[in-house]
Amino acid sequence: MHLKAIWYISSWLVLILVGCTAPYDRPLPDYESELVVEAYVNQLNPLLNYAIITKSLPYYDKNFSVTAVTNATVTLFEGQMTDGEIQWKSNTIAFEPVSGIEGIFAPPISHPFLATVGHYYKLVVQSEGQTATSISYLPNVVPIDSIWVDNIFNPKADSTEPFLHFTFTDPGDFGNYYMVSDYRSSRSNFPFLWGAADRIAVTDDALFNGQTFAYGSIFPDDYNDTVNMYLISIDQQTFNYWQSYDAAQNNGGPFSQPINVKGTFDHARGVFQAMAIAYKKIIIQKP
Amino acid sequence: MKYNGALLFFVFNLLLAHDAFAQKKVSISGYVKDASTGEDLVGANIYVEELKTGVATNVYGFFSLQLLPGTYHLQITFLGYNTIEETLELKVNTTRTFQMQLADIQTDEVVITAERSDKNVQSTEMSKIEIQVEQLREIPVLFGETDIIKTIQLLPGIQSTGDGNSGFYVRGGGPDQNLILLDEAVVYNASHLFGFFSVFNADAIKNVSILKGGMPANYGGRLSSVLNIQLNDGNSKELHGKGGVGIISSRLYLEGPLKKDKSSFMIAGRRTYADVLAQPFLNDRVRGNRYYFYDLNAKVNYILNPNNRLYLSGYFGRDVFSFKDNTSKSLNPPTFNSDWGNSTVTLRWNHLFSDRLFSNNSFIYNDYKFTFGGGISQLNFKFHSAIKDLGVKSDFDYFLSNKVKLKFGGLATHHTFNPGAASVGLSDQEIKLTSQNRLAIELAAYLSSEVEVSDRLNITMGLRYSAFDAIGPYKEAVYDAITGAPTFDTLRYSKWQSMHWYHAWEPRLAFRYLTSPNSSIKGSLTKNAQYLHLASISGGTLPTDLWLPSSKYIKPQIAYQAALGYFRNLRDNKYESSVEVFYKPLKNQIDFMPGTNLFLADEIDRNVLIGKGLAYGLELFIKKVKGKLTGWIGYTLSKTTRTNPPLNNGNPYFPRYDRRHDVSVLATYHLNNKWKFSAVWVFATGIAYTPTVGRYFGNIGIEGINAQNIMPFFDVITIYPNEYNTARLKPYERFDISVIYKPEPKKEKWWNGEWNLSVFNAFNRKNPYFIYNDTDVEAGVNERKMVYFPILPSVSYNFKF
Repeated sequence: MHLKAIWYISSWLVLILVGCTAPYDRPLPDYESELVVEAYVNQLNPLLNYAIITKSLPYYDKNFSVTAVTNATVTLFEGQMTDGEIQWKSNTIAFEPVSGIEGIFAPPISHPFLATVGHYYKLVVQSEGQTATSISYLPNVVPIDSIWVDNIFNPKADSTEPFLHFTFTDPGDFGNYYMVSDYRSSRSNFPFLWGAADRIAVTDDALFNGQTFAYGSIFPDDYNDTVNMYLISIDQQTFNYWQSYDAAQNNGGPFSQPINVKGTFDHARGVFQAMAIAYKKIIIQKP
Repeated sequence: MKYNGALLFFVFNLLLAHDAFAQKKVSISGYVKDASTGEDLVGANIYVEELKTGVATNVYGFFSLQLLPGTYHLQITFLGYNTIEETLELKVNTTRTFQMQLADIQTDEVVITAERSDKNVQSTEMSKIEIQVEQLREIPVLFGETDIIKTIQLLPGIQSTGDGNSGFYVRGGGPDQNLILLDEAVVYNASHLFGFFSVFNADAIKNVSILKGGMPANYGGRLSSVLNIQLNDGNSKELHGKGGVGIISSRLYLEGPLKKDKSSFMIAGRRTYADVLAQPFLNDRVRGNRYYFYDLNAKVNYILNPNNRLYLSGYFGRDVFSFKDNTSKSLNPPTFNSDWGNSTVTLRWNHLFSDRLFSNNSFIYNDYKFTFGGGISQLNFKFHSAIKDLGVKSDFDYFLSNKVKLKFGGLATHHTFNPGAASVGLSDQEIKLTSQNRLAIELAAYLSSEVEVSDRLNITMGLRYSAFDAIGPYKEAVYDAITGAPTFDTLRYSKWQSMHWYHAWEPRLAFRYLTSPNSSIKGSLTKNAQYLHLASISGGTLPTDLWLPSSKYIKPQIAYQAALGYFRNLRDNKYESSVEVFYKPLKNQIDFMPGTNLFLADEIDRNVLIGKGLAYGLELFIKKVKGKLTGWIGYTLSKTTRTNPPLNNGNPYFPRYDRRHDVSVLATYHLNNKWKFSAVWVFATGIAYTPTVGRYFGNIGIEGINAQNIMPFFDVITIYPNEYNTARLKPYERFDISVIYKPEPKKEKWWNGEWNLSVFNAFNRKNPYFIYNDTDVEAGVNERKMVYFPILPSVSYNFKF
């Protein structure tokens, strides 16, 4: 046994040497900052129509704070498809800086705005002589059919654990795209900015076209949580953006090709998305 | 007539074949074998002194010479064996089996090359290297595991992408462009442990050769190389064994007669055991988790009569990985299980139609399977993918005369591609996803002749016809011809119905011109077609990679290669040297857009990007084959590019495995019968990669009650340049050493052992395998490199009985 232990320790000493990391020094590549826009319009909550304008940085820049752009002009156009062409309305909405938080622009509080299902929206951002444009379509709202909690007894933990479920029914036609998010808060039904919500999934309907689809929590939820659940219908380019966004989270390593996120703007990075939001709330209560 | 060349080829052969009918000749044919084991010796030379001509045994150990009746002095030579010299009076057709004795002591006088001493200069073949298995054992090894693929990576023109990859890249070809044959069966994934080790157990191997170019017509189906590995037949005289105990694995090999001089067997097994030994020392949480691999080679053969011999051989190997968190309080603790590996079976029948016509007929099965499954809490998942081949193949060697040798034959292979089936279960819902199986038939027929035009000029001409038919049953999605949008209609193909038919004529030409008795110029021109494609976005090989057939959207890959070389032996054949240049354009090279989903995508084909490639380079090779100090120096100067319009703005880019310079030095010093020392030094240009240039924040959120008390949320998104693979990792450099100590063998002792101490990467150079970014809000972003193997000593004990 003694010999075996020595053999084991010595061989594993060798093994643990495998796979180390070390700093890597090389000349840094040149890079010029670019405009980055993250903008949303929706049909449900006027406070969640906004644009965040920032600038990108060289990768190894020591600055790690958000580089907000404060001098941008942000204009929203609304239009409808007529005879195969989008006809834009002449009256536009000029976004204004949100006071107290740099880089955020929103429609004036005095003129609250809600997007309309079936309409197209164009966002034009101008800053430092550059103009970036993106167009997004607001699809139909697909409602959440039901939301409930399954309480399952776990003998290992000697307790009951809640698992949240909800269902929705996809319309029969192909080409529907969804973003599923939740926001756990008892204070507000919506986050202040969408990044505070958890993006659970971004999917198309290829696997469940025309069927009722059930989502369920993989891990147990927490009792007394207030869950605001959103089923957000989006257009294809927004779907492509989030698909590439999630794929880009795996950048790096020997087995991946580097992925640039497929932005929706012509001369800026980022996304402009029109969102058809279906909403339900549930409080997870002990049985 | 597009293929007038084919007609010319036959006429040329007929004109030269007159020698065969000019006078009545008799033949001497047979086999060359190891006297102690009965193993056929591949590439042994039979030389007729009077005629200054000779022949080498083919890959099955057979030879045939046509001579006028008379008395001849024959010399039979082979690696490390005592030369046989025999005088034969030849009156009628004669069959002989030469039994060669192993040379006891290798001195300066003993030839230790597998070929005749000047074969490097004399043979028409170029770009071909044979590796002696005994030499493999002397090369420094990683964890005590002798590795064929790591050894061939030391040859000029063959490159790797780093320590943790058993894939190899030949003259700018991708990892899927190498035909890897184990006893004629295709091995689709030749690595264990995600590429750290190859699947080939050196104990079971008789012969290894690699062809980098000038591929003769009897090989096809891949563009860049043929790695041909033959298993031992087994000792037909008496029972023997060998094996080894290493740090992570052990091996055992047994061989012996089933019926003396008639039938023999061999069986070889290998398994890693770190998982078993580690169990007692693991804590509760991870106890039961394991990774191991094992493989098994087996072969039997039976000599029915002098003209007929049967072989049955097989390989089975698996990598197994399992994980379970035993301490989890979750309803379903996290579990993960995966296994993958190859299986091959080859049934061969060697038949001698006459003393001039030899045939090998094979029935071949091979598959590669990958599965994983597991679960966590409410989620359960399973996945598997596979490729399976069933094939028949016949090859004929016709010794028309001593100046004309013909090879002809054909093959038919039925491929089944299973791109994947999966099920994902979440609480009360289960989703099953199944990609359709894809079926195909691959056919080929070839004719090749090696002609000695004059004392100086040898020409090998060949023509291969290959065809590929993707067949039903299959449901093919229909897309709008103009917009490319899905119509949601399907075309249904019935069983065996032809869907997409491709074919290609593949001419092969090689020549050798002797410029002096010890130097020659060689050249080759080849065209190759490849109908199978590896769908990989890693630029390397992984167990998860899928093989795809040519289809409506994926055209067969085509490569043309021109190579020219000067070969010269020096100092009485003590040194072999060569300079080769090659130029290799490639068509229909596949790639994918970054981020393409290859998982369970029925329509992967539609996401394939079809491009072209180009590789050219210079290879220098000098090898010392005699004396106490042996080894080689290889240098490659090459450039490889791919052009695929959607990538890199349509401009050529360097694939990951492009290396401008690649130097390998291998030296082995036989001090005496007890001590041998070996060293390897490798230096290569760093691999190509795309550097990060910028970053921005995405999915920005703020949580808080008021502006003074807020918490920002964001992701850091990396920005890459539009150009592809514009940067290089730092050069790769490694120095390995090994010492083999063999205690003096005692005649009465039935057991002989030797110790092998190896130090891999003895200078502890931290070669980057890849780089990644370590992001920290406080410390900023720092680039770091992942190093797989720093200095790594290992010891192994190998034995024979």
